[in-house]
Amino acid sequence: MSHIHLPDGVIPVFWWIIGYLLTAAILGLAISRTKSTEARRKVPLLGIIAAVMLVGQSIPLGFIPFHLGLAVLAGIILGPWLGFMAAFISNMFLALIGHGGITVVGLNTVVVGSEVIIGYLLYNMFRRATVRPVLPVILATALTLIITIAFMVGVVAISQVNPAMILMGEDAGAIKDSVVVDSPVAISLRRFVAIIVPIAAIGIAIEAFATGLIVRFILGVRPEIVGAPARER
Amino acid sequence: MDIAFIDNLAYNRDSVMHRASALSKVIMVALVIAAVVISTQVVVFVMALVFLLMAFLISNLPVLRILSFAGYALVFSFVFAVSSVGGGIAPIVVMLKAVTAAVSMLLLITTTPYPQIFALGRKIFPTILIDAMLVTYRSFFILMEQVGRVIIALRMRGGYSPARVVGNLNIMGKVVGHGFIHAWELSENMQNAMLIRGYRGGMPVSAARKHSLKYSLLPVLLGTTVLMVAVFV
Repeated sequence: MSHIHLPDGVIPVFWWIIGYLLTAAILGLAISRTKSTEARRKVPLLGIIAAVMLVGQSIPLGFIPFHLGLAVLAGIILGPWLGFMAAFISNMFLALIGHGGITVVGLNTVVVGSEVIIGYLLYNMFRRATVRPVLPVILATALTLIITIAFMVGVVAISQVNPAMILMGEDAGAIKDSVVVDSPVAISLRRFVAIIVPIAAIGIAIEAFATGLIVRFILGVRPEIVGAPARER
Repeated sequence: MDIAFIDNLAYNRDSVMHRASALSKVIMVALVIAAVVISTQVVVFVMALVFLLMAFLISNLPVLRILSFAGYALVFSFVFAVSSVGGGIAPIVVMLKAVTAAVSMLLLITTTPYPQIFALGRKIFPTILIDAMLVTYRSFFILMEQVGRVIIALRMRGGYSPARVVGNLNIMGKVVGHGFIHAWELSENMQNAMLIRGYRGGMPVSAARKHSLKYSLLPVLLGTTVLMVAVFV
């Protein structure tokens, strides 16, 4: 949901280098945490879930210009480390076809990857409290998106990112773009928050509801995919 | 998402740019992006765009259709340019920066098959990421074809209407859920096939066509010229 769609040459060098360094560090950690035999075994699943994330981002939901991100679901299925790698792969593909610049891949991976990791952790926390996993998925997705959006607002506040850019995006409910500008911010943070809250609420509701529906369907056919006990066939 | 269209152009057209090595074209993109980052002169970007358009013209590609993809970068950079009026970089420069970088990236991906680009990435990224990218590339087309068939079937039966957001969401949940299950089974089959073939990490990538040094000089020369113009103008 919070994929940054900015092209190359717009974000200052400092910020996209920070994004790449953070991504490299987390990817390094993710690869070191994944045992080599497990990694080899899961290469097809990792690649295919990244492809599913791309497919999800390719299907518009009717007249509203919104598409699914599926980052939380990727985290639930793959776990945090492989999920972060899937976020990197899908962002790299998007950059190669012009959906966001190649220099923004690092920042994009940090943002989408944080959704993967937080979503995975929250899902497992909520999952212990209930038997059926649909509600935990909806709650985890909604809460994750609230956290990542709050994180973005925090970035706006501390780094003088231009809030006007964050409000713009191809998706009505998405926080899209963050740009640091040399000039003072174009609109105030308070106004930005006032505008973003209702828009983000719609986006969060759509993503959480859709993720719940996807998991409900998966539970009916292959529950073991989302960690539920397999049904006898 | 036009990955299939871009892929077709990269594989099935033949030109001087197509015959240049992937490495030379990646170097070209890096040099153009470096120019985009360091320069704020309109004339630099105009000259860079002229050079890149000349490269498109000799590449036997549908220039207008491809350039329409750069419109994406133009729209988002326009939003940025407008939102930061009054300070920093001139709006026209912001837009030209974005379009120049996007056009150079388009030149790369419409003349170079994705696997060739990923194979280059093997020198930088860990094997697991490159292998997963190759799987993503392969499975994206399979999944898109399957989702496309499901959506056609839905429309024929009146199950998809652009005006019904909630209904679409419900159905898309099932479609994407079905896609996830198909993807899961695809990954299991792929994993078995890879194990049988003795996969130990590192998928081989063969070159689509023979590359020669004389063709590879062109993109490097183009990128160097753009960077030189950016440095000295």
